Amino acid sequence: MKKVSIDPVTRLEGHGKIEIFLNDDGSVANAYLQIPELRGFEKFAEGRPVEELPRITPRICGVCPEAHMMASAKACDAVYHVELPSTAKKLRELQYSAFYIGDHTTHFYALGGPDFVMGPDADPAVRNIIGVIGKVGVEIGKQVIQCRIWCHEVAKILGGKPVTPINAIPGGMSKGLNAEEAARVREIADFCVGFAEFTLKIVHDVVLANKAYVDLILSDPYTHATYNMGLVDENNHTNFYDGKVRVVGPDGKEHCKYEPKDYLNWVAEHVEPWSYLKFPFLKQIGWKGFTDGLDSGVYKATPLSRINTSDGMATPKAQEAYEEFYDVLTGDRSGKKKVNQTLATHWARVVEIMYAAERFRELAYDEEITGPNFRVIPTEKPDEGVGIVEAPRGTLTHHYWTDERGIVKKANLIVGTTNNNAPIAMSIKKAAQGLIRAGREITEPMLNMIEMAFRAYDPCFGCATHSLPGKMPLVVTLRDQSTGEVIRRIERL
Amino acid sequence: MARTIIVGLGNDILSDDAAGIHVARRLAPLLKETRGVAVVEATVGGIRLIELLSGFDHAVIVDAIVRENEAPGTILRFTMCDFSPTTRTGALHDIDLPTALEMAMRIGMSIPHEIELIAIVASDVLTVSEEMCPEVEAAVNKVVSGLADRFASWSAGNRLK
Repeated sequence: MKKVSIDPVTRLEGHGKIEIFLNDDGSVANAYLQIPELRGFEKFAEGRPVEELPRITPRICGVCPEAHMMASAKACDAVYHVELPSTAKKLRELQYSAFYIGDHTTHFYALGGPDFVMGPDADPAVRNIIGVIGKVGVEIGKQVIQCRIWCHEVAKILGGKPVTPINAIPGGMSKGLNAEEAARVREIADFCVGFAEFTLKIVHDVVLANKAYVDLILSDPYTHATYNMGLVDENNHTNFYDGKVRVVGPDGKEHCKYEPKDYLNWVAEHVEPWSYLKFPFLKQIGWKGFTDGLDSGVYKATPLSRINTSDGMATPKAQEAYEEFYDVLTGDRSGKKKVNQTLATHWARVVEIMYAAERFRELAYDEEITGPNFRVIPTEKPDEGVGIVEAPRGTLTHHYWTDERGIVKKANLIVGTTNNNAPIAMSIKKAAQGLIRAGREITEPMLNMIEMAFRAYDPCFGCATHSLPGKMPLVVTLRDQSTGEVIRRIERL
Repeated sequence: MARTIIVGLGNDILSDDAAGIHVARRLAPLLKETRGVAVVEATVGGIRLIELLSGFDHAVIVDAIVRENEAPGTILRFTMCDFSPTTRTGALHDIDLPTALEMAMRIGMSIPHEIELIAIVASDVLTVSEEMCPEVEAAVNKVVSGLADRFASWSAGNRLK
């Protein structure tokens, strides 16, 4: 295979771009997804009081502002060496669980689901949420919107605003919950558990009942045996808000489990000349290129990886869903055999909706959430701190260094999607290799099958959540592997 | 009587992407006495934007736009007819506005019968900064003046949301 390097000036920013490099015989040599990335946040943070960052960092990403707020607040807690009161910790996790439900719901019904509910080769005009509503009923569409609106209401109750909340602060929360607010939160939590049950039923009735879809999930083009990363509690159960980072191999063996502050001992970032994006990998194993297996340091940080790092789920209905997930996909309910099929991420996401809903309800009915001790004032001298949460799309790390006045000297972030840059590239390449052949016309369904490879990861483009006209033109460029010359460009506007 | 919402979309730490946000912030005090007009800022798109518009009769959305062949600061006006629904999205985690509107209509949400879009051509929407380029700054002021003149004396016979 001839080697090619792309001059950085040819990098295209501002929209998603899949670059596919073809060999002389027309087969796929390499394929990459290039997405725009924000520039200069670390510099922007320098010189600011660190307590401002939980208010600023939610602006980084319109998709997961709560995740940035929580990771940032946790990093500030560590900078100031404060231990949160129990009420504060529970309120944070309650708010975060509600956020998770809304976020995952959007992906399942509007983004990932249409490929399965309508079929991956369905007409694009109906392979969307409109088609889903048409097929499974208007009432479901109403339920999806109600779920989202009510989950946003939780953020408003706790944080004063439904979008981009700023209520997690160093040492706790800016406000607590009164009895009336708690009653409303409980009502929403009860609804969310029912909605999660309903969503799991759709997975059963629509996806699992169709053998072709199960075969697609288990098919080789969408399979990557990478390491898995996720936060776990003291029982090795998934936790979105807190815990240790656990990494488990595709063989099910634990590679490591570490405190957030030790992340730099375990994770490093590889740089490629053809992309601004960095490619995190497991430091102790090393970067061996875009390849999977036990000898490659590539890891995933997704709903699927989280479920693979977990020995079970901490809530009963989610545990049932976990066992069925592994039973259907591996034949072993225990979860000891890991699932390495990318498209199973959609199902894992629904299992997580159930866990988030049950955890939300547990916390909503915990009497401590209306307690008065929702914040402690930091008194220690600030220096350095790391905060890690599981963003819906991967492990999110905030690391701040400050002077003795709490002014930021340096900041380092590894955002959820960044963890998955290497596996996304690998998934696209494998799907493209499975679909593109010499002399074969590239059709829209084929293109969608390549897109499905990265859609499962739910990547976020932090900068483009709202820009008019509200769509990302995806450009697929076919290039000659030896010269880099464009053979064909396909735009889907 | 008609009720209008003016939404300034954007991100106030992302260079020119803050254009819509600044329009909303500067316009809100100018229209605070105007009945029937709500001015809000938001960093949302797709479904979340529809949720925001729900219950209003008329909407004006102001946002930055990236266009290769237009100078920064150029002010463009669109209606929803100018956009076709797509399976592509601005973020991979949301759906586009036309699709979101169609979804809203299918499930019986109350959405504005008229949606205007005012787009300010941006130079840079990827660099984290609180500064807009001079051309976009000037365009923001121009849009604020235009909307203030248009709505300041405008009144609807119902209370603000």
